[in-house]
Amino acid sequence: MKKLINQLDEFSRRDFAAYLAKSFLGVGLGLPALRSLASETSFTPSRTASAKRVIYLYMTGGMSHLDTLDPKTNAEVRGPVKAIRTSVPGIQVSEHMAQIARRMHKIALIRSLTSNQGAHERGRYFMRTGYTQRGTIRHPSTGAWTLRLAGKLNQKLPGYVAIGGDSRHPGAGFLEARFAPLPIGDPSAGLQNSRLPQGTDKDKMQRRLRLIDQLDVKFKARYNQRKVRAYTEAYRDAAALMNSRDLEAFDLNRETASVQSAYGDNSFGQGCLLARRLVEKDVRFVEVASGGWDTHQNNFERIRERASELDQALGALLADLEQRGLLNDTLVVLATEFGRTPKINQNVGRDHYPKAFSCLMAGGGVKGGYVHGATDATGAEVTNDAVSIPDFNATIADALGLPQDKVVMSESGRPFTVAHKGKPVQALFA
Amino acid sequence: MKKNAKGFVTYLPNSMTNKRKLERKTRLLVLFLAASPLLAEESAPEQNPASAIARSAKSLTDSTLNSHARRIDELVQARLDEQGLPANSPADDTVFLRRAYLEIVGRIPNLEEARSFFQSSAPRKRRELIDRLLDSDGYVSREFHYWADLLRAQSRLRNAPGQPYLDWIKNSLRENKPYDRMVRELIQAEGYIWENGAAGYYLRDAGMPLDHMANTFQIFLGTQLVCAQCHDHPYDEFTQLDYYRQAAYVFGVKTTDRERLKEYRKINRRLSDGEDIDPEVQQMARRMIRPLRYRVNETNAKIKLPDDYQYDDAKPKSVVKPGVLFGNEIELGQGESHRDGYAAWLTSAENPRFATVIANRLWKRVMGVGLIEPVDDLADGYSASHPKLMDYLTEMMIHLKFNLRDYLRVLYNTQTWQRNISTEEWKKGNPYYYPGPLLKRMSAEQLWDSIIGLIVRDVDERQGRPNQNQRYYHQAEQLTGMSAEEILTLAAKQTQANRLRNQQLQKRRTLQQQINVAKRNQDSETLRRLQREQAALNKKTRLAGKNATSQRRGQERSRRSDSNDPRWSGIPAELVRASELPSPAPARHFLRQFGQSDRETIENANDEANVPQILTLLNGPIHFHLWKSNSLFRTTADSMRGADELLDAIYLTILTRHPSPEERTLLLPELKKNPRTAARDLAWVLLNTRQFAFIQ
Repeated sequence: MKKLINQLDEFSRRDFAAYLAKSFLGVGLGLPALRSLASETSFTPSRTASAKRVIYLYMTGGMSHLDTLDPKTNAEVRGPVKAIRTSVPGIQVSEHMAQIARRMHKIALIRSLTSNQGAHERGRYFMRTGYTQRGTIRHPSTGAWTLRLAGKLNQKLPGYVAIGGDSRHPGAGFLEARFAPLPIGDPSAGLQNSRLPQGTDKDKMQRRLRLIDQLDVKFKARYNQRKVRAYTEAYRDAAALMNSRDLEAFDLNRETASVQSAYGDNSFGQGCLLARRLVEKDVRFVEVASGGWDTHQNNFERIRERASELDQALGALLADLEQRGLLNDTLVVLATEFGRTPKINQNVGRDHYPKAFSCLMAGGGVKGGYVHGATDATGAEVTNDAVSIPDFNATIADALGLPQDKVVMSESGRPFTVAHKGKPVQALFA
Repeated sequence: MKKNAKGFVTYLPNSMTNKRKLERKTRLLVLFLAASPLLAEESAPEQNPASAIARSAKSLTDSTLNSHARRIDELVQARLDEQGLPANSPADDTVFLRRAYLEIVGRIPNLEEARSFFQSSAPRKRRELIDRLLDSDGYVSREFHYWADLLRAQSRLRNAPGQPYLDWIKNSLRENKPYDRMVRELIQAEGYIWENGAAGYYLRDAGMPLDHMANTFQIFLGTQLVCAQCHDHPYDEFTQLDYYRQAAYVFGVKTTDRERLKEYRKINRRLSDGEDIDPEVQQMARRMIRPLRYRVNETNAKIKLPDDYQYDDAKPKSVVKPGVLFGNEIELGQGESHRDGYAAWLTSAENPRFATVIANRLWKRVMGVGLIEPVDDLADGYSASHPKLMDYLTEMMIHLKFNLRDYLRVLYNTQTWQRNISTEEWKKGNPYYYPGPLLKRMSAEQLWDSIIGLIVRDVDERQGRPNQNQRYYHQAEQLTGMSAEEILTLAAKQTQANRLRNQQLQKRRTLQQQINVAKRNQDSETLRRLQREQAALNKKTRLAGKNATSQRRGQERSRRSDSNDPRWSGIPAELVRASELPSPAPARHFLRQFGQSDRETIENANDEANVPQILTLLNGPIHFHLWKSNSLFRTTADSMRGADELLDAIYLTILTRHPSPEERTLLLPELKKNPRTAARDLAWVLLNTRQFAFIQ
């Protein structure tokens, strides 16, 4: 403590408060004066939101930057993949990204991501939460942070939906369960159990719901407690949702066959279509996962498959969002845990490479036709404008106008902020 | 299970090690399919139901039990009197019965169990029921989740199979291992996880020795260290250096085995040199030997302070000597390692927090709120809401020699626990005076197990499909003795099997896509043709699968699988108690929907409401299973004569009580008119009431 006070001159008041919050607020009660000091500064106005919603596409396994968004000419590195021109002179992407190339003027590439997490689970966790994984706490994912800090846009639908994700998704982390994503396993099947069982019509359902209430009158009067009321509310919400026309948002059968096939006849493509339907109904944050990017073997063949699915779906999504006037305030993010090694291994594969990799953003106030940062000739080192994982998450938070210095306490009384003090990449915004 | 004349289960000593050695010798070589778990099932010793539930009540005489329970009630009453608060009224038999089943065995009683209790006029029937439930298989299923949540025990650890760890927990509960011994086994664990399930305790935190120590302190000593990982603890007394000193006791415990690693490298080199080896086979071989690297063993590694250590009491990067954060200093006996000394210190009755923390944790589980809250943050100068009671419980825990079943037996026999639930809500931060227990929502597991119990008879005995993760440890056990050549041969066989399987899968996927397209285009003719093809393919795959696997597994499967048991014929294998499902259940499972812990962080379950839960209870497949012809509920409902009897049975089965006169008047007419539909509807309605989901 003494040491801290001696250093006080070096800190601005705000930094001091932030430092204190970081160091001391983890201990529950006590230090009330310091805490109020911290909370005063925790509502610093951020930039005006340029995005209302997010579609977050997650490439599980580690997407090779070299074979997708950051192609190289060096023959040893590039393998058989060719680079192609895009709609923006001077920017090239790999030949597998033809649709993305056509829309480059709407897209910002980030070629200077860098992480220190080379294992899948930890890398994914870091990307989704902005925090490195610890055994003692579970951090909220960016979607949960978004709901916690900005709330829902459409009260009748869930605010955060995760399509095709893995069971290790950090979800709500230490936040309350209502900030957790609603999981959708198979986008074509829609929302589980939202349809009435066979042989039950709406009237019958209404009668039964009334009977539940009738039989519970005494119980609810006797135990007028928060948890009991929460269930009564959840039943009301569920009943409203079942009757809501907005529920159609989950039903892909309402799209024409041509729209469905435009996104690609696969789970990821259909997931992107579902994401579009959901943001159309003002669901705040939709995550769609695409698996199979862990290309230790046969990198080039497998990338061709994976990338063509991605390219088709993302191309269709951007076009669709634009056509519906949603792209301006919907941020589309393409994320992954790490890149792949420039060296091609003996199995014609590429291994994990967190040191340098690429992601992209589009819409939601992000300027198009822009490349942020770069790697060297072999894609091995970031040469300028390095973007850390917290920076990347802070950029998403910034687009949404989330207060990045707002301290949220975990149940155990430890202080956390969205994007873990990353610095937003301002250059990405128009 | 052996019972003596009094109906008590006799204690069968469990000589696990010998048994396991024997089993290993006689084990057959089993092939495994790697990509998907379709593997050898074999009863692992720790899963063997033959190991009896240890009867422990003998150690606790009636008079001791009564005097403990009475003393607890007195201490609670004294505080109530001080506050001028009345105690809640005693719970009647219906409330007691349901609560006892839910709390002790983790599910509601079935019709038979409810009737037999209500009809009994034995004067000590509550006491006897508590004993019976504590000594049943259901107790193991129920307690398992508490420990799995605390220990973050998962079916898949990062580097090793987790199943042996889960089995170790269940076995410890079944044996009623004293708590202090259980903790020592964890702290002193050595070996491969398939040799010693307790090794999971270190493997769970592989590569994170500081986090590991923080977890140990949080779980067993109710103390938070994490802050001190990066700086001096701001609230408790201890410093960053103290933390490192404490961590030094087990820093030498490694989860990778250097010796095995050398072997592993040899095999790896062989793989890299062998250019003639198919890359897929190489990958398979690598995957097969991966678990062999992870073996808990003690080394001489010394912990060092971090590079950026900022305090004056030591230099950055300097080696730290072990030292305890509180309590008596550790003096090592002859031949004792630092780890042994630390395990003894941690679990000693003299450790100022060890007994208190477990006594308080279990008190909270039973009553709803701890005497010290939070239960895992006993910072310096912590205080209990009832200091005398806390002291008494601590002493009782020590006196009972950390026999957790006896400790719970006492709490369940108190009047305090057998009172009605408080109608008032308790708010965090306020003191609670225990006029009775608190209202709780059923845990995800209680809810699932209660519903499954409506469908599956003798549900506590059903094991379902042996956990898929078992394959890892069977495989690993065999691989330990194999040469590189043998491993490669095995890998080649498996690769071949996988390829076949993938081809089939690919075929199916293509077909499914074509079917989707046909559906979308409403091309019924093509659709019919494709569906015929699909059916044929399914049949073929099933047959192929049977031929390939049944020969080598058939015998074993029929011996141990539930599928041949007439009690459960036609009931899907996944309808088993939550303790028999993977830990944690997959993200989309009912259990996770209702807040089952993901077992990523300590005690991470929740009981919060959300919409998908409600959709599941309203429209989910449980209602379908409930009303299938082989469901316990259905057969019971079908055997009832007359609407009155039917109504009674439904209420007893689902809510453990008889309907009130008003409920009778309301519900009978429909049941008379249309018994079947009305019974089905009523079950649906009752399962959706708050009275069902909350424990009174």
